[in-house]
Amino acid sequence: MKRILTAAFSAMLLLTGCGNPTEDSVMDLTALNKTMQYSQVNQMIYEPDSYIGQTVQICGEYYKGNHNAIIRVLDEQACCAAEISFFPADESAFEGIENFSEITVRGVFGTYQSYGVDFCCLNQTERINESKTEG
Amino acid sequence: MNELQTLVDYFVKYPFVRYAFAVGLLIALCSSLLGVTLVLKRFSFIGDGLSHVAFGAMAVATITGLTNKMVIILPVTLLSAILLLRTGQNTKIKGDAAIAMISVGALAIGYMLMNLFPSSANITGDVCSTLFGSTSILTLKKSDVTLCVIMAVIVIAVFLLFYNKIFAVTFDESFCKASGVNANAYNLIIAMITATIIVLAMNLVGSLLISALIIFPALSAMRVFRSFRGVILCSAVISVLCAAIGIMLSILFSTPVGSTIVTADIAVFLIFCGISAVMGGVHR
Repeated sequence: MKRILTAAFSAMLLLTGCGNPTEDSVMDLTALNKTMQYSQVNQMIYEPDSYIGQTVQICGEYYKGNHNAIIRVLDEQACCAAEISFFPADESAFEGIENFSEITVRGVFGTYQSYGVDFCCLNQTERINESKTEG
Repeated sequence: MNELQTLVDYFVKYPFVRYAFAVGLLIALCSSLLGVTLVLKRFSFIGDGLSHVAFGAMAVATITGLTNKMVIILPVTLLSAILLLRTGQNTKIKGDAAIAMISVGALAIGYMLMNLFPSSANITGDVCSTLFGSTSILTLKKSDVTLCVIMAVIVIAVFLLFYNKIFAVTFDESFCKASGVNANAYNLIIAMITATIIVLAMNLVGSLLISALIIFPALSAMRVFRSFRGVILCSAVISVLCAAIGIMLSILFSTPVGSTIVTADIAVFLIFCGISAVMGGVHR
């Protein structure tokens, strides 16, 4: 009994083994389903050091307030959301986009400081396409 | 076959998928070990009560803005478990009434606090995430995984160390007391392990579905096996298997993790009921 439980426990510990998040040149999150995409963006926000310099392609809701433009990624149930700011390579590419429109962007993952706090962002961001969010 | 390849790719590429599997399977293993004891001792609903207490504690931790919410959640849940099991017998409000009172009270206060002092603009999302798990298991940090592994080690070690005593206390508490075993102390250990598992499992299935994780594998195993050891081993296999299937399906098809795991548990329970009926017919 004890041996079986110890073996089962050890096998599960192996699952926590670490590896590089990705070795692809572009991490295309649009290929993932919504929950996976949301989870990966969360992971990047939690552990940004592992992803700095990585080119990332994300699909989500566009929002531009008084400050930075952000892309908001929701999970499948639209229950949870992860947001990431982006700095366009060409401002004109993002002109005229309505807030809450669904867009796809590609940028280089990095961090910036605001009020002494580090935030994650996408630099040199290009717009890939735009499609209006339903509903 | 394509789905399996996709899953392997996800597992290799994305750390959070590995974290989810590691934590999910560990919690499933721990909860199944204790589930048998709790079901046999007629304590199935203590899991439900304590999970609501954990929800209330999480609401307090959220509004205080603590980075590590466990600092509040774990002690409060442990204290409630001890109060329910240790003092429940000597108070005016007894047993199930005390559990029900603490359960709904903590749930109501937790929800009220989250509304009065919202920590984010999306209160519905926060509540949904805490009550039903939502995608919590897919958004774990490395520190969460480490904490879960440490807790799981402690729970499994305590269970293995006191296996014989837990067995004795589960089946005949009066006989244990008569033979000099400190049954109250072992009940306390069971309550503390239960509280720990519930706090861990909140991330996996959410606080409303935790009871399912504790009772379904045990009940399924009891349909077919008759010995304590057989039931515990079968319950552990069922629980881990259902958690793995549930996490896999929810990753592949974007379904809510907690509900998918519990649905898998229910399906296995129905299958085992069928097996039990067939075996009963054969034996007759």
